[in-house]
Amino acid sequence: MQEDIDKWLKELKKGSTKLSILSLLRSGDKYGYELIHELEVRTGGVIVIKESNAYPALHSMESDGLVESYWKETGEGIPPRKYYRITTRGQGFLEDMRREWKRYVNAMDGVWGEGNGNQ
Amino acid sequence: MEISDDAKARLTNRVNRIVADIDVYEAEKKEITRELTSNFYDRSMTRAMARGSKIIEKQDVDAVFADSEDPKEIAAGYMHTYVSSLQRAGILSRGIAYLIDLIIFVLIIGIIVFMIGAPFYFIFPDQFNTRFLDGGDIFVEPEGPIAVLVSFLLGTTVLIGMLVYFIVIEGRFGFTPGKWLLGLRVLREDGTRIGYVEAIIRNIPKVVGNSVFIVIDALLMLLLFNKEKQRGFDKIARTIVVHKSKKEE
Repeated sequence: MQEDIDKWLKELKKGSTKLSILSLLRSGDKYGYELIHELEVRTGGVIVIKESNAYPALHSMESDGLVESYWKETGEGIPPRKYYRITTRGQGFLEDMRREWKRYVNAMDGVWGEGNGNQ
Repeated sequence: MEISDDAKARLTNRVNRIVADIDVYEAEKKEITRELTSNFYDRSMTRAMARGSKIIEKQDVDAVFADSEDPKEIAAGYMHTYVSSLQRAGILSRGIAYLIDLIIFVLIIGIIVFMIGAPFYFIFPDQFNTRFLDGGDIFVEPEGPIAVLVSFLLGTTVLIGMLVYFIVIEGRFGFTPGKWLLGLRVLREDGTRIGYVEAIIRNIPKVVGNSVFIVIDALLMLLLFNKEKQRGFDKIARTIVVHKSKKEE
């Protein structure tokens, strides 16, 4: 049972990776690990994205024109970091995604009857 | 922040292991290498700082790796994303690669067969029936028991040679010498590296019988699976062949 839930949650997280990343980028440019870390902290460890998911998602979002990237020196004695910035197109996409997300959640409420007080 | 030499070596080694399993264009590979290096530096630095240290030590890097995914899993994550952007190889480039493979294979196996067979032929000439044909060709037939044994040995050598060349090499590296020359890679449909199982299945028509089977299978690709550019046995093995440095238009 737990295995099935884990599998389902993995798919769910995968589906919401882009939405999470774009949302975080609204408050400013961020590098890969910063995005992963901030997401974990903000969601109290509920949404944890791994390297195998985060970086490929960033790359595909970049080729889709949703984000842009640039390298920046750290000044901390470690190699430069790759920062990501949300594009205008990315912002539009994020708004659409959020609207659809809300619509979906409302629709699911309808499916299990919460909207009608049938609990 | 500083980093100790052994910590740095471990980190570099880990990133290289991940990137080794990513079959994409070189420029993109460099970018991935830099990004993953930066990622592991950041993670290790957080560990070192938590210890109150200003130096990233081996223990920090090891702790990060223990917490991180398997290198193959990270590489697979990238390949799932990239596979749709890699151009599939068609009948022409794959046919040329196969011809090159055949030439290389026949040359190598010819030399090996000669080196094994020739000494027996000269030491035990009575065991062989040598006939000179009209066209000037020489036809050698085994006659005695030693010659029969030698023929069997040579036949086995050719068969093993074929299995090694077309299956073991492809299963291990994801390409044969011919494919390597043309910049082709065999991948699973999900973009990850193939293993020996896939190499065995997809090469059955190459090593079984004569070249009729592979031609039929290639025709199957043209007629039925031209869009996916998969031979019948690619379909069964769930494999694809791509140009490793060409992006899909």
